[in-house]
Amino acid sequence: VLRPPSALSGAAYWLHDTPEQADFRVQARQWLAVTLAEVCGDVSSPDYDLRLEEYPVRRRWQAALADAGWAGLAWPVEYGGRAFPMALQAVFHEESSRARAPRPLNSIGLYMAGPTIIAFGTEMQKADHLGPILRGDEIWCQGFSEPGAGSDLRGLRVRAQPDGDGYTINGTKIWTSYADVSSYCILLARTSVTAGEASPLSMLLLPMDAPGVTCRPIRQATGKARFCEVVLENVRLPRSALLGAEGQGWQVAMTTIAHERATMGFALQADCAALLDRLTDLAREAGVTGGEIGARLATMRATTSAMRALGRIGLRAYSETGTPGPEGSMMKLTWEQLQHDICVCALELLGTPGGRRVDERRHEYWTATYLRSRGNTIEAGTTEMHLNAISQRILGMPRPPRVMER
Amino acid sequence: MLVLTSGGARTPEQADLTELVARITAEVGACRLDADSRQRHLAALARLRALGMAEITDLPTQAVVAETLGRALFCRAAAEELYQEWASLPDHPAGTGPADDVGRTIGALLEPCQPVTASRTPARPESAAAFALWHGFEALGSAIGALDDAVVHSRRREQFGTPIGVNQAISHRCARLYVDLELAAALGEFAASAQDVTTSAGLEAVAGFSLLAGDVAIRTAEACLHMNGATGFCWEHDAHLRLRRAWTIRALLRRGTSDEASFLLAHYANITELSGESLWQCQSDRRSST
Repeated sequence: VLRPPSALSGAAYWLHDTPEQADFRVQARQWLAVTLAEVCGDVSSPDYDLRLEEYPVRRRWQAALADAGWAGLAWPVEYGGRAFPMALQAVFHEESSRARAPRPLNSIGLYMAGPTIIAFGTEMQKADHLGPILRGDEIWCQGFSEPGAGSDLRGLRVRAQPDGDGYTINGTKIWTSYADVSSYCILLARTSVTAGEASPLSMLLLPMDAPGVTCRPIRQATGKARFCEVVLENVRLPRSALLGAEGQGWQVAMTTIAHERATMGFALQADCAALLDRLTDLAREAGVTGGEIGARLATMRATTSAMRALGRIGLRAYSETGTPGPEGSMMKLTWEQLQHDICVCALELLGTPGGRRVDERRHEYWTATYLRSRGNTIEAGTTEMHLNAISQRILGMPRPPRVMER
Repeated sequence: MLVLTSGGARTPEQADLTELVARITAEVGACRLDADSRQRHLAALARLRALGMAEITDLPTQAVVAETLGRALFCRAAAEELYQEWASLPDHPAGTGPADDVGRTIGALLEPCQPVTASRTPARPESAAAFALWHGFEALGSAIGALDDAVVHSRRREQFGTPIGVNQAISHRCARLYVDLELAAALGEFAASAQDVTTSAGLEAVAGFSLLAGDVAIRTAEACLHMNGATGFCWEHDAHLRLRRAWTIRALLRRGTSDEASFLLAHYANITELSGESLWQCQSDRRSST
């Protein structure tokens, strides 16, 4: 029996699940349905989506994931993971977003710091941190950006001066998400006796409660303070805090970023699909579903599906080669554009007569989501950096000549 | 010098087929919208047919051929003859009916929140899906050709002592088009390889693909024309052919929707391709005679 196209009537999960993936999807969906209601409350209540951003909710969610074995799906078994293929991690991302689950609070630990520790950590570091990262007992942040080093990490100035059995660290990190609730930071710093841009980089595991660490939350365009300035004044760390070898920091950092792009790439797609579902609900509620809005919804829907297909292609390449391909940049660019377009469409809908009757808390949600989305073109590599990467590495466009350093 | 290879993944057999079709179509060049060119292309079609091209039954391989034809700017009418032959193969999912229901599938996407009533349900989803896939891949192929041309030119053409591609206004526009192309290609690959394109999910993928492919074909053709400067604006350059092709295919892909936009599109298509060459016209004639 042929059914009519369902179009936007709920997410259609059609992209060739293997039987294993299909089984896993069913399990995940069942678990999510039961546990979400317990941990996060009634999904249909108007303030549900607003609550998802709250740290206590996200912390509880992380614990629930870890208790039931859903955290660290792709991690090795010896570190508390289940050693599943990345594709199953992707399926879980998808199902989580679809069910409107919050993001676990320790996203940086799970998807960036943890995998980097697995790749470069000593046995001691693995034993100390991986379990707490999975459970969310240790929240992690990532100390890369500095006031003078945004897209261009060559401008890094935080120095970890080697002295005797350890390092003395001075400098400032900035735009550090979760720093105010973190217990650890993966810190990228220059380790050499002499200062200067050419001196080698090293990665250090910094306890945020070490003496000399000051964390100042910075209020964002949304009104909330969700990232921080981290000032380091004569912070002492032992040599055992090194992640990887001294001077290997660049390679370690690139691994962190590669993991960010590989794992988050798929999560981004799932985010877009979930946000579009919310927009579609809003359109129905506002009674504006045809005409121009309908056409826009259709195009966004098609783009979301395409993003999913591209994510799968990227995942396939990643599983085969072990190195994330250019799909990460493409996913990121598509995600930021879709987030924008979806939010703008929502704000326009809310301005219609039907939209004005929609619950106030939904107005609050969409306004906050729109404002938050304006950070999307800056975080995780600016739009321009990703466009540069695609045009130079894939299309072979010439690089602009570098301005000579003074 | 080709920078971009192809949209979808290829089996070795499909890669060989692509090369074969590309070689034969390259010999006749892009269809230049005149009777002469059309004759040469119909002759090339005969060669393709002799090589068994009309007997291909699986959608993914047909998609590969359609993409190659689009990239080569193969004569629309000739391509359409091939599709008609595919549609009339006994075991093909497209069946034997005229493949003109796609617009309704697209329509379901264009007015997505409306309940899909019986009258908006394609009578033959399988023919709609095959139709949309072939034309979508033809559009995708043309888009790949357009972007490839734009990129190759931008890397080579020098002004102010440096290739124009060094400018982000150029390189970023190309990069964005490349992303859109990859998105469309990815969705196309999945749609073509779906076990059953006639499920609601399969139809949604097909409709979404044809929507994206039609749009990216137009935008890459515009960029191609622009980036080639005044040369790109000349009749001898392929850019305007790609632009015409893109609008024609998009009109075909959105045919059957009840909205005014599709009428406009159809109208534009009639004036953008030469009237004698207009596939839209061909198709209407064919429909009224059956």
